[in-house]
Parts: sequence; C-alpha cells; structure tokens
Amino acid sequence: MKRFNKPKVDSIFSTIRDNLATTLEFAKIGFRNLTRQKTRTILTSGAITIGVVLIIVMVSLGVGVNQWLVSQLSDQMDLTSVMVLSKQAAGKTGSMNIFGGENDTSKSTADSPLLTDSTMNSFYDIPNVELVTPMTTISVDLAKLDGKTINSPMVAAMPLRENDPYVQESITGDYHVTSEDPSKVVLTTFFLRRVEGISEPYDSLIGKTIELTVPTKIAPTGFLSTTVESETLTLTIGAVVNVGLDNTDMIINIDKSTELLAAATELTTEEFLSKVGYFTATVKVDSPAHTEEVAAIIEEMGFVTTTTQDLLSTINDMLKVVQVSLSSFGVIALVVATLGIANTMVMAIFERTREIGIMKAIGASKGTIRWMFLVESSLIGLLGGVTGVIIGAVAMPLFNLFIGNYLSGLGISAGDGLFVLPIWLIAATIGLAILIATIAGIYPAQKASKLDPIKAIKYE
Amino acid sequence: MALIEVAGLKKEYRIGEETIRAVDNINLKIKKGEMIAIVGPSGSGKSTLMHLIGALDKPSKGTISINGKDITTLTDGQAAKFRNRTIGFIFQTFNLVPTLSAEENVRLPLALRGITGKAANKLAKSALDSVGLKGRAKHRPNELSGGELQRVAIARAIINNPPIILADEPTGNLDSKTGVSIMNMLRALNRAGHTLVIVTHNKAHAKLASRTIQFLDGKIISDESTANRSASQAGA
Repeated sequence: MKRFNKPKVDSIFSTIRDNLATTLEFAKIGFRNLTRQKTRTILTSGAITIGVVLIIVMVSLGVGVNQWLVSQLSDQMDLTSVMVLSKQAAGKTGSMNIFGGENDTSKSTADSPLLTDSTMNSFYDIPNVELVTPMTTISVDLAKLDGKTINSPMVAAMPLRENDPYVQESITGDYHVTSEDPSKVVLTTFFLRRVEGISEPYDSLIGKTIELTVPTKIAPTGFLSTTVESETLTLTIGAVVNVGLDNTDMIINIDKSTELLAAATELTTEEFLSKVGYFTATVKVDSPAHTEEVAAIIEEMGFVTTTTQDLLSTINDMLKVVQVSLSSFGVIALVVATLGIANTMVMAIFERTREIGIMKAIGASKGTIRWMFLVESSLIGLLGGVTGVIIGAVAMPLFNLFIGNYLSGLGISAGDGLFVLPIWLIAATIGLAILIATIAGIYPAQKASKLDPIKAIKYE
Repeated sequence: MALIEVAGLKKEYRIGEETIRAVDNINLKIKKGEMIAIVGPSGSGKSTLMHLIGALDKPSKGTISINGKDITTLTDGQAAKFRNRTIGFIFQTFNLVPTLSAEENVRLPLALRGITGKAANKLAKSALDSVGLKGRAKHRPNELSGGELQRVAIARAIINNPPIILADEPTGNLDSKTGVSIMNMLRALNRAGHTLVIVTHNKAHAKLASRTIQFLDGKIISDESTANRSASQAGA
C-alpha cells in the first residue's frame, strides 16, 4: 500500500497567501463543478446539513434553556439571599418533615448548632446582614376552602415582613398579618390555581376561613406514616401572594407552627426550639457582592448554606453537560459526513482526471491541484453548513412557538423562547462544517495532486 | 545559442519485465523562431519528446536546456511555473475544461499566475479575437465545433505569450479544410515570434514547417530543413 503523505501545510498556506484571486477563481470553478452534479452535491452536503441542524438545535436549546432558567431563577430568587440549614436538617436528604420516619438525626450530628432564636440573633451580628427569616414547614393532611378539599397542601411558617424578598407579588390583603397574628393565613396563587371554582380576582377571599387537618400523632408504617390523631385548625385568610416558582401553598404564623410541631413531638415550645430548632433560615444581605462572604461565615459557624449563585452555577454546569452530550450527536453526524465527502471527492478525481492533467499542463503545480480540491470540498462544507443554519434558523421560531404555547397552557412563561440562536453559534457551526469538509478533502486532494499529467491528459 | 537544446536524452519505461526506450539518446537544437514538424509512426517517441520539452515528464537521462537553463532538474512547483510562462500546449483532443466557457478556459493560465478580474477578461477577449472567436466567448466546449475548440485551445496556449508552443497533432481530429486553417494560424503565430514544435502525421502540414525531424523507434532518423527537402523531392 502506498504511504499517505501528509499534505504540505506550508505550501498550502503560501498558495493562499500568494494567490487569493486565484483561489477565488478556483472557488468559482469548484462551485461550477458542484452545481454540475446537483444531486450528488445535495446528498453529500445533506449529511453536513443534518449534523449542523442537530448541533444548532441542541446548542440553541441549551443556550435558551440556560438563559430562561437563569432569568427565571434570578427573578424568583434574589441573589442577596443565603439559605441556611442546620447540619441535622441537611443530613435528612432534604426532607423537612419531622413527623415522617424515625427521628434519630440528632444523634449523628448532635454537636452541630441548631437554628434557634439565639442563632438567628447571632446572624444579625455578621456584617452586611439585613434580615434573617426563620422558617418551618408543617405537615397537613387536608385543606378545606369553600367546601372544596385539597390533599396534602404544602404549609410553610415564617414571618413575612414589609417588602419581604420571599413575596414576588402581593395580590390582595396585607401579607404581614401572619407575622403577628397566629389565626391568620396567607394563601399563594400557586395554591388557588389548584382549587376548583376559585378564580381571579381573589379579593373576595379575604376574611374567609380555611380549615386545615393537622396530624398530632403519627404511626410510622414503612416509608409512609399514618395519622393516628389529628386536629382541625381554622385560620382566616389575610392575604394572597405570588411566591413565584416556590411550591408553597400557604404561609402561617411561625409561633403557631412551632407550637403545633412541639405538641406533635410531646415537647414544650421552648424545648422544641432548643432541641430541634427552625428548619431553615433565609439570611438577606445588603448586596449580591456580600452573599458569598456571609455564606462562608455562616458555614464556619457550623451550618450548611445554599445561595442562588451556587444554584445557578450548578444548573449551568449541568446544562453544559447536557448541551455537550446532545451536540455530540451532531458532531458524530458531521464525522460521518466526512466519509461521504471523501467518497464524493475521490469519485470527482476519476471523473476529472483529464481536467487535472490539463490544469497541470497549463501550469498548475501539485500544490495548486491540492488546493483546488480542498477549496471544492470546503465548499461542500460551506453549502451544507449554511443550509443547516438556515433550516435551524427557520425551525427555531416554530419550535419556540409550539413549546411556548404548550408551556403557557401549563401556566409557565417561556420568556424569549427556549431555543436561542446566538451569532457565535452560527459562525462556529459553519466554521466547523467547513473545517470538517476540508479535512475530508485532504486525502482526495493529495491523490489528485499526484496524478501523472501525461496519463491524466490521455485518460478517457 | 539555441532556444531549446536537447542532449543525450533518454526516456525509458518499464512495463512488466520489458524496458521500453521511448526516447533513445536524442540530441537536438532548436533556434528561436523555428517552426519544427516532428513526424514518424505511432510509438516512435514524438509525443514523449514533446512532454519532456514541456516539463510534463522527466527524462531517464540527458538534459534539456531552454534558454540555457536545464529544465530536467526543476522541482514540481518550478516546472509548473515554467509550463505556465514558457510553454503553450496544444493537443489533438483540444483538452478544454468542459464545465468552463471558452473565455474561462482561456483565462485559466492567467488565473494560475494570479491574473484575474478585468485584466484577465481583457487579455482573454483579445486572445479569442485573435483566433477569430469573438462571438463565442460565453459558449461551453459542447457548443463549439472541432475547429472552434482547437482555436480556443490555441488562444489558451498563447494567453501568457509563451516563447514556445508545443502542438501534439493539432489537426488530427479535424477535417482537412479546418486542419489547414489551424495550420495557417500556427504559422501566423510562428511569424509573430513564437517558436513552434508540431507533431503531425500529415505530410502536407509538415511541409509548412521550416524544418522536419523524422522519428523511428525513439531515434531521429532524419532532420532537414523543409526548403532543402522540398527542393530534393520536387516533382514527387
């Protein structure tokens, strides 16, 4: 077998440098050759097109979803908040339900500090901290509103202050009431959308009552727990708020919830707070620049913290992995396309052997012939790449329209669309298509350049 | 000094076990402005000599000097440049690029030396004018007659104004009338200062040359100026 010589890259570059006008002339001839064999050109560049469309769609989806998530999260969760958990709570793999399962977490992390009123106060001593909000959640079996029953609502307890960052939008009523009044409840729009027969405006709900069935004694049954005893809690609706993406159904007074939680564990409120503490706390700092600093200090105090910035970077990392794996399909398609291009170009050598001989006779060197073939195969890449970008650019608004409609049916705004086609992506994919096609042309170009001109001219 | 000086030229091919001597120890001098006819039976080495002089092939032995410079030692790139600037090839089968128009074919040697655009258009137009194909510039080879194709090929051969034109049986594929007009065109080029080497089977056409070299089995068997020959063969 003949040894495959590496093309002389230097001579290729000097060819470009010396004869840009000649290269354009070759590009014209190459284009003519491609249009001469329309079907073959379409089929060959079609493989490139498929690869480019795949890459464009996948990467735009990645970019779009990324932008969408970041904008949603930035809107919903402000960048000045630090979520604080005790190590005990964090050790429960995210479960905040102290009623469920065995309550043995205090053993393993017995020494770690809890989120008590005194730790809340110590957070205020950290520079740049503006507000500390403790939070608990209680387990509720049923909620009854206007004769409608809703199963297992998510009930959180926390003080809601003026301009509380947790509240995205105040819909009606005065949401601070729960901070002071244990008989009041604030409902979320997330909850009300799930209750049949209730629709906007929600003003008429203010002053109405809602009944919550709260378990007071529980028997563990395997993974689940069964309510043995429960009591009914009747609360007056004080306000309706929008809490964005949070899936909390209602917010009650935190002292009331501590009382309920203490009763269920047969402790006094004071004992409960000193032994279990609040479940989480949100520490708000004065500017996003101080978030990480404050989080680090709180971590040093023995707590686990999460910031929105952490979350965003985690999501970004995850999306990058998804994006890379999805676009690798496109890259595979492009690599497969190189085989097609190489085949087409080798066929072209047989068809144009005589032409190559003529070119040599009138003064084309090996480098020139090589360059002609590389220009031609890169044109296949350009053609496939541009077609792919056009198809992608046309398809994307359609995808956005369909997906946007679908999501808005679910009550989610898709923002600017989940497929976003940045200019750099267009340039990069076309560049990649040209590069890959040119690489595919190296072997045929080399082969063509080595043809003996005399035999080539006589070739029938 | 001769424009073309061939000394001790040998070209051997191996086909299987057999070695074929296509050109066997040729010595030849061609002066500037000569019009040489090379005649001889098929396989006698005429075309091989043309290819060697045109730097399309390399000899097994010997030298070919053009203007005193040995072309047998040129690199691929140098040989390409030499063919582009110094040699104009005309072939029996015209050898035009079928996808390109007459004008684009004529422009190719210019493109290879980096002349494109308006300058190339102007040169190509005047070359096509000079071979009488003014109105056929945009036609593709498949739209042209044999004579027209050969005239396009001549225009292409002279576009870079090369001192040497090598024509390998330029009238072989043409009817006699067209052949004569092509030969007249080549004579005109010779009068304009181009040195011509023409391989031909046609004895009448050979007589138009100033000198006729006869080949047999890779060797020159006769070399005489046509004036002498026509005098010695007068009445034949």
